[in-house]
Amino acid sequence: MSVKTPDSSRHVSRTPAQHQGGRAAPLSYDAGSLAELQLQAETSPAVQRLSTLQRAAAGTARPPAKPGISDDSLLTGRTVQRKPPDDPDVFRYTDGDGHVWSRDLETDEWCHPADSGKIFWDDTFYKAFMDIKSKAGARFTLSFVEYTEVQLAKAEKEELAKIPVDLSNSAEVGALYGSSTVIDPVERVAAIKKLFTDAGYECSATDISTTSSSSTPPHLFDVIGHPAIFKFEVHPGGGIHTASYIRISTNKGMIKVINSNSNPAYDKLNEKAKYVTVSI
Amino acid sequence: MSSDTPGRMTLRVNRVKDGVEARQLLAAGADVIGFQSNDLALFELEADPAWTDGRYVYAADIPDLMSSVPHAQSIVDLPPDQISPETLQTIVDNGGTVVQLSGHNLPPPDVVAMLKEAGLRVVYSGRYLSPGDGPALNRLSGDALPLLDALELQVFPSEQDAFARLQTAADTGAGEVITPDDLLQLAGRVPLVLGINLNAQNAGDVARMFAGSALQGLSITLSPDTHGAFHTLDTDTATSLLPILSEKL
Repeated sequence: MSVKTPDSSRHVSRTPAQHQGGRAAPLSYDAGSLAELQLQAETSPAVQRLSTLQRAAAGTARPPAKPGISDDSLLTGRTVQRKPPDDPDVFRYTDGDGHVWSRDLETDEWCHPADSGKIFWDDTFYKAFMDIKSKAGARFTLSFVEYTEVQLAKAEKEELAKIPVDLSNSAEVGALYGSSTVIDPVERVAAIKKLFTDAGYECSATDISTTSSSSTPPHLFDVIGHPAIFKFEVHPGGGIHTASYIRISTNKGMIKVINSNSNPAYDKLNEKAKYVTVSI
Repeated sequence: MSSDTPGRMTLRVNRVKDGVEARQLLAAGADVIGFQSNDLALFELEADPAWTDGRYVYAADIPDLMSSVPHAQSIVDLPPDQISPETLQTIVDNGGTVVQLSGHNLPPPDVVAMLKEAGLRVVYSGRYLSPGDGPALNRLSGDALPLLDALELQVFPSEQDAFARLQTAADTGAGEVITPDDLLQLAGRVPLVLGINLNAQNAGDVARMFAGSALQGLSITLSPDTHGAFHTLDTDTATSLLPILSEKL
């Protein structure tokens, strides 16, 4: 079975669900996949944070150079020690001189971190992998390489969910309200839609409620394909909540952006939404 | 998913954790037992898991879980990005005819193709309505949902008392808030299952509001946690309410 190198779509080609019922089959890799994986970690902005952690952990984990072997000599070519792996789940070992070696699954060679084009499986990743493996027992059938691939995809998904609005950032969410005390729904809908379409998402046509009890009905539209946000309601005020607001429907529930300077004030009625309050 | 008893609404329980809990709920009156599989969430590798309450099940345990309720319908909720032909075949081999997909996004075309190949239909779950979603509700059609078996909607999880809000809307008629009639009109177009805030005080009224209607069923989502997009109940409360609902539906 071939394991894809993470690509821009971050589709994980082989998932835990595909491993049910037993141990993962021996893996083979697309040519250059390991090097590409390393390159991905170093070049993708989405995984830069992981990459930094990985490098930092690797730096602290590396043993001091063996006397008589300079770092230069390690960098000049592949420093490979053949050591047939007794346990296919063992990816690292420390030799008698304190050097940490990583196993290249493509070639079954044990490589030093300084080997060009090779991935050094740092302690951060490896320990997390072993912890999960220990907790999940036989159900955990991901290989270390697959685990790393999924970990990178996770990091990218986390970053994608924050584009174009990070829902955990009140300032970013509050900015959706705009700069007017009373919302102009046409202007706000256009501005918010542009944010999402510029980020590559599709937005539905705008629905304007024709049965609204207010003379200034809400404008609603869907965001298609976003991992966390799926609907906006932009209300100019005058409805059952009296004041202007923006409602964001997310996969974790409803967020409402309200204005503390609205007059009359926003009436929460019996909602249990998360509120982001601006003062405009 | 159709009820075993024609004309009677189905009572579904989602996020059942194991066979023991499943049998307890079946004895109380549940018709369909739902398990939610997500290995990546269990491995703490899911970027944004919907739940952190430990009620996901492992894909490797699906055969045992499905066989733990041999005389009832079971349904497995799968994350679209973890679906494989092997997983779907496991479900088919264990008598499954439907899978549940949670989330507001449609499954990608390759997943739809896999489901079609396996002969499985889909319950779309994890979607919710806010009171002001009437316009979107009114243009919702089953044609937009591939391989649709049923659509499960949470009604007003953003309200302190969703059922009271629905009753109020019924009393005041059409307006800015979705009414029971809006939901029943949707049930006439789409096989519809609703989740609402059930409790000992309102269970009978909820059953009376929907009994004999086109609604396909009611659903309960188990969790000890509150969730902004779902109505949740703990297992004991669900067990106590199921007989009330079962009797009146």
